[in-house]
Amino acid sequence: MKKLKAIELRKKIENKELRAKEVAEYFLKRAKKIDEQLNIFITLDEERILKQAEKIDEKIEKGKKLGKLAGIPVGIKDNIITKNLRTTCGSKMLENYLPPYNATVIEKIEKEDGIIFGKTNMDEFAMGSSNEHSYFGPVKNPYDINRVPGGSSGGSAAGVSSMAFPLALGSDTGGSIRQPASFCGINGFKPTYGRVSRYGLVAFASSMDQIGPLGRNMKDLTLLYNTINGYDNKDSTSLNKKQSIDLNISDKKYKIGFLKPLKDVSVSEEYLKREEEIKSELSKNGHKIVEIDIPELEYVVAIYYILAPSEASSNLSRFDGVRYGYRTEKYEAMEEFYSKTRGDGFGKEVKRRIMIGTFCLSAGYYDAYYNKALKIRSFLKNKFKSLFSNLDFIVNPTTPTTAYKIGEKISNPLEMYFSDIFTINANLIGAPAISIPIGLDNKGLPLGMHILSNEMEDEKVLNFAYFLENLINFKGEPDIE
Amino acid sequence: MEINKDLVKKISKLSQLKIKDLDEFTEEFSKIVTYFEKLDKFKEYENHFPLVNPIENNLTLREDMPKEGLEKERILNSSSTVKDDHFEVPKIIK
Repeated sequence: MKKLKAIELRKKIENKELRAKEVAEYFLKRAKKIDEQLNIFITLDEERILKQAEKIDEKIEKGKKLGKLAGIPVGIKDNIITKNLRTTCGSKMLENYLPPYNATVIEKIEKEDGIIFGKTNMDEFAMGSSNEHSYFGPVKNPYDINRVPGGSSGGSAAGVSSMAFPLALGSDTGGSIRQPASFCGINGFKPTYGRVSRYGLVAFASSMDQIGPLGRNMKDLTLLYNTINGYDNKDSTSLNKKQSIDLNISDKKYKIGFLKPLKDVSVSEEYLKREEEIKSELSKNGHKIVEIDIPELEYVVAIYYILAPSEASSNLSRFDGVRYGYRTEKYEAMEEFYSKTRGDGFGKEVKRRIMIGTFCLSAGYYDAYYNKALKIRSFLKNKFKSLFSNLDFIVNPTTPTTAYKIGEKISNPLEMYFSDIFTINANLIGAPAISIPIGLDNKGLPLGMHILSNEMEDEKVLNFAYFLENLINFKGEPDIE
Repeated sequence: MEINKDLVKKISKLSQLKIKDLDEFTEEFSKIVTYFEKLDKFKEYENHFPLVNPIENNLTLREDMPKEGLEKERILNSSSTVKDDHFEVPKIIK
């Protein structure tokens, strides 16, 4: 069952070859075994999952029409609000938080009969690139348990990769879907900003946050994307264009820009070798390959780590211990109540980012940091607009290295921030981007390739990734039971 | 830009965050802010407007219609201290 695609599973459920409950029981058993090894879940509510599955079986018995995701387990990153199902954001601050409502994406998945299959582990409040910043302990990489799965959607990526569930949702503010997808050898897609409603996604940096799907193959990933995208009047930045994409390989010939090496960023020989092979295959297929140089990418890490923490410092001010969440027990007056609640409730990285953001927004520094970073963001937006007037896609590695060892970068925040250098850009300009697996390095770790296209071209980038999937035929599979 | 302990203390007060390891925090904070100075080399931005929303004209409005909100009980249940249908907080002035 683990080898079946989500679309095949659904077919078998619809044809009564498999019962939804049988599927749920199989994945629960498997997921629990994998969780013991990789720590992918924060909350796994078996009873709720089985009840959802029984409902779908009842629907089938009664001959009712089934939704697009009927009976398919979908792992949900734990910063996406689920009604009456604990949602922690990987933080002590929300350790016991039971939300009173559902995120729009959850409503949409349930409407299509998908199974909300547990809340997956993540870096606290989505701040991190290794999943080591979770209050609930680090997630491990299914290809090598001594290595990180990437972050912040590490539980979702490791779970899909190890086949604990066929599909998952993540959120991506600077690469948090694509980077763990790359480290775990799966596909991870960040849609155009506004395609997927952010209602019920606990905000980190609102101008960059975007929910997206993770899957082992493009058909499954697109099935989940088709379910979750579309206008939502609860999100004022929601785009008024619903997409229902039927993947196909077209005869269209594209002009593809491959990014030239960046100054001070080394990429493994193995990645470069695979990239060369793919380039020559693409040329053979009639696509035009060009090399492009974007020297301004040197600045994106600095811009991002000014803007995202600035937005976070404002967004996370809601966690004050009054209306929900952790509250300190020992205090005298209000100010101490706030600072102790927040000081004890947030982990180190979250505190660091709130502090950086507060600094960048404070009187005397606002223009020199926050406003300047926004102006450079504007410059980048224009730069990419002009690049895309002459190119269909921009391709580069998703990350400078493959998955690194747990503990390797934890004591050096700046070095950790650099691992986002190739993914940040899509969030700054709001464009869609995907990471797809293209092979394994000599340690047996997955290599990910990143494809960016112009804003609104979600369908085009998904179709191109589907074409590449068929061309590359990646067969990697972690050895885990 | 020099980041010293006094500045970090000031920022932690503004952020309402109690910081325990001030020395370590100041050192890391300083490294990160120093890294931001990289942007000083970038000169071409000055004629650009500050871009907050990456997608142009995507802000939509909806009718402001009265409707059922969330249940009061359910909301109050999320707080650890509630008194007479209100959130209870410590006294604000000593």
